[in-house]
Amino acid sequence: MSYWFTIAALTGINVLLAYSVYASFMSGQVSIGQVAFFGVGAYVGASLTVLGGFDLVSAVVVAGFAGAAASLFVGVPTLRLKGYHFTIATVAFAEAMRVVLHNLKFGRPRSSGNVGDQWLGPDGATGFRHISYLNDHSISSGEYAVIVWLIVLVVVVGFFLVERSRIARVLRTIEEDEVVARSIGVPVARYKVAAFACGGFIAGISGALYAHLLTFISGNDFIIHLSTIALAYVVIGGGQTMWGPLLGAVVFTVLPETLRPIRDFRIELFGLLIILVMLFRPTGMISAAMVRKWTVALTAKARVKPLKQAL
Amino acid sequence: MLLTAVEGLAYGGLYALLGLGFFLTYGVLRRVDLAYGTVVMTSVYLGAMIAGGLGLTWYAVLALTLVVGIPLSLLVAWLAFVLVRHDARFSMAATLGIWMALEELMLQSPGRGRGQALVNPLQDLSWWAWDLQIRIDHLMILGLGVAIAWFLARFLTRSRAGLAIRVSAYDASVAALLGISHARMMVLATAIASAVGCIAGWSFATAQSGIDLHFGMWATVKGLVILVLGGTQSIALIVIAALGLGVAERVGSEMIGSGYRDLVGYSLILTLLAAEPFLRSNQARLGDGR
Repeated sequence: MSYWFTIAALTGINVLLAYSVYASFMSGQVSIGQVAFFGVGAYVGASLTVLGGFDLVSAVVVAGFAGAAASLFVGVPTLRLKGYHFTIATVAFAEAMRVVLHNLKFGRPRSSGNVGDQWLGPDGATGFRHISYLNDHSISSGEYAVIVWLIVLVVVVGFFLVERSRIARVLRTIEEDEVVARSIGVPVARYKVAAFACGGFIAGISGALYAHLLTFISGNDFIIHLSTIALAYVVIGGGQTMWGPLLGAVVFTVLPETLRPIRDFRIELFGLLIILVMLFRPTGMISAAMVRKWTVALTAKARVKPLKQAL
Repeated sequence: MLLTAVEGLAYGGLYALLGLGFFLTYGVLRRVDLAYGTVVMTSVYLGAMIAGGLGLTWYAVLALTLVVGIPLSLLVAWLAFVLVRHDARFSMAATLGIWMALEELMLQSPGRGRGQALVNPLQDLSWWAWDLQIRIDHLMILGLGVAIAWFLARFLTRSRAGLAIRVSAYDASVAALLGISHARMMVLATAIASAVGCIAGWSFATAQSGIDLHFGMWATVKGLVILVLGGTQSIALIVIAALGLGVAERVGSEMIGSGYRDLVGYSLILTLLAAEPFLRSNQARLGDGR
């Protein structure tokens, strides 16, 4: 059972990572740098609980802000870029951050431990070991999965509300045509930076949750592939609506676990699916039109019911 | 320090080869092909594997790399840029999918995570000049980079086929009016870009006496760095940027430690990109995703 709780927690973390990509995707920006904010969040969150004595919730929140700060660092100067320069900048930032995390060393010596394992904190290429907050506080894998999914719920509700607000319409306008958005007085740069920072915040949170789930992280865990997989969740699930990243991340984390023969070929399957989706259904599994249709159908049903009861 | 700079120049030659392939793909064809490096890696890897299996000599690896690489690049281009053509973002996502699938397939191949060894016949040959030891293979890579850059520049600006490629990539309708076959020109340009990439990959693998499966991602990221540094307007600038990056990385790693070597290039790219809107506000250097 513990295994499935771990999978549930990992699914929630992947959903968060997918939403971090989706946040900037809404304004038409394709970021492959989310893994950098995820990595920053993981290192900050783990450092706070292991070295700073923080509780998990505070550490996760601070990790979120660290992710947002990192996203602002790269986003503010580069979100003005046209074409695919922004995507390239995020690739460069992700790789730069991987190099930094891979070489990062701070902390203190451990009082106990085997030879070569006497350091508490990030230890360069050896990685960051002994992130034992869950064990130390007797938090079971089931309880941790609940914590992760409560955070996912908050993020999903947040996106649900945003999608029904003016903000989403503005972001979609920017995605469609930046010039039009600017001509109607939209501060394009401000919206893009805010969306990107939101993505950074969510990635930071998911990174901290990931570090505590795995108990060991190293710089090489945060390679670009993780970003591309998160982007794949959005692209395959559907980038036009907030339900797409949720569906993409859940299906493609749980499916390889349930169908064991395909687990080893998970990445190939992702790649193949991206190509097939781009060929036959570029809007992804769920499109905005589908959501509108379902909403109309549900609203109509809800209206008909009281009418029938009244008759 | 001088020796380090000279070593950097040799790496710069390799970077120049990679940059030229990217220049053709991004600058001339206006395609954002994230699978480029992985296709090159796959071609060299399979070329080395087949040559090793058949007991062929070192230069046969290049021929086999080209035999695998050119059709593979054409297949990728057909899938991502011919079949998927409604939106440049979708084409980019398709190349992302190809990158992921291809690299993972190679990781799960019979070699399974192992690099392929290549014979380097020039490994122990060096040339001494003013107390500096210069490896002959590095010198040859540098020469190859400059020679291919010169050939490509001549081809794109002086030959009928080169001009036709540029017209066709700029506007397919204009090309059709001039009687140029857009499809044929795209195939030709893709094949040339692939051949240049394959030569770069093979040169690198031979100089390193082997190829690692992570070369694909490394090549893509380095290629993008060079492209941003050199821009998409001039082959000469690509070569200068590549040589500069090679020297900066080597000298930088000497100064701040080899662990941070790659940071030099990434910091350069970020700084340049951050400064670009202020420097060239009206110039879209990557084709605005067209």
